[in-house]
Amino acid sequence: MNKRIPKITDKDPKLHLKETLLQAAIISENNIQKILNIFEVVKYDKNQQIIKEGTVAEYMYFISKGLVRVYYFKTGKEIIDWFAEEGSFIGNLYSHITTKPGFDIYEAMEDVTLLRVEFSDLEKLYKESHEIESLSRKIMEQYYITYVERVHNLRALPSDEKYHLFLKYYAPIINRIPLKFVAIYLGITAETLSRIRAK
Amino acid sequence: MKKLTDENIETQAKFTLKNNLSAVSKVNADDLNLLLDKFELVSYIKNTEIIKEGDIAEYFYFIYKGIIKIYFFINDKIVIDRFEEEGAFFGGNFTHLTNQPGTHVYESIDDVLLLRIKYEDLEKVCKESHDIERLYRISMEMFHRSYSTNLSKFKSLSSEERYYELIKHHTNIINRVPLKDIANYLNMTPETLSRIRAKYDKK
Repeated sequence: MNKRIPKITDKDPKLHLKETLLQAAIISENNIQKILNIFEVVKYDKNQQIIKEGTVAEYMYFISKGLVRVYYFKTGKEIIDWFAEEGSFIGNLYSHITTKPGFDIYEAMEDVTLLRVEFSDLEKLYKESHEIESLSRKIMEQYYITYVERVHNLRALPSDEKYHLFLKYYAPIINRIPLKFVAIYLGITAETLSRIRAK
Repeated sequence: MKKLTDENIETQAKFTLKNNLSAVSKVNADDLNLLLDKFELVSYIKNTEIIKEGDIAEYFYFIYKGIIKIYFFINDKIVIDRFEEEGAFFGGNFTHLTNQPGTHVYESIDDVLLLRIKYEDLEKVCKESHDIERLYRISMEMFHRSYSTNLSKFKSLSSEERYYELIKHHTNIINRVPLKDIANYLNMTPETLSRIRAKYDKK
């Protein structure tokens, strides 16, 4: 596991999670604690796969530190779906809902610290607490909004405009994303990307 | 827009909605009725903008009859984001949450019958009933899933492959949506689409 990051107590990622949850909705301290209790800290080294292709989703994750790349292969070609940064929730919803193996790979782009929770434990909490269920729904709404924006941005734009939007969208983490991944994400060659960047 | 006074149609539409919702998660009958009571039936003739660009959406809709196209503009050019058909929900991409004017237009392709609920009423019912909150939470996950699948397909499939997907899974759209709209959605010219269709018909 991770050696470079100074030893972090379990409390720090959980505090991070708590802050993120409180941004989404007002929620009682009691319920916050219930949520934090079912999450556990896991760490992955750079380039390790957190979720592998063909597995049925078991966990939902919260990224406390590090970047995660979400991608899949289409006839041998890598297609990057998104880059997930600190403060994001990740997990294969498709696989969780359908209980079918997922296609996406979730891979650490840096050494990452995550909190993870079993979907089944989450479901139990939802059942127990109306407030927590409502919180989850509100987070889903926020994620839906970002999806709509991303589709909007990606569709039918010329490559250079896509790149500018990409810069805008990923501004806080842009320096941490290798250029080859940026090109794959935009669906353009590394040469085209260099040409656009030179401009 | 016309508010329909025909109670028969409204009852039928709500019956359909009730069945669809019951399939998503178990809700006690009283709570479900509480929710259904807040819905009202509205109708639009074809080619009407139900939610306009720049609107902050006030309602969440269920499609009882008809097909909706959802599009936005890039440099004055229309880009069709998706189609929604009978049984689906739509609601202005949650502009009511961000308070940002919407970038998308929701337009009827044919004459449509919709059930609509005010977002504030939906929130109220969610607050009152845990069952309804659960129903909405699970529905949100499903919207999210289907939308992200769409995005993935758009990124990974060629226009031609996306056409075959439509034929396989969305016959309604193929049969009822004008060709020029389907071509726009697939990001191809109507001529290319005709060529692909001719090829497909021969198979």
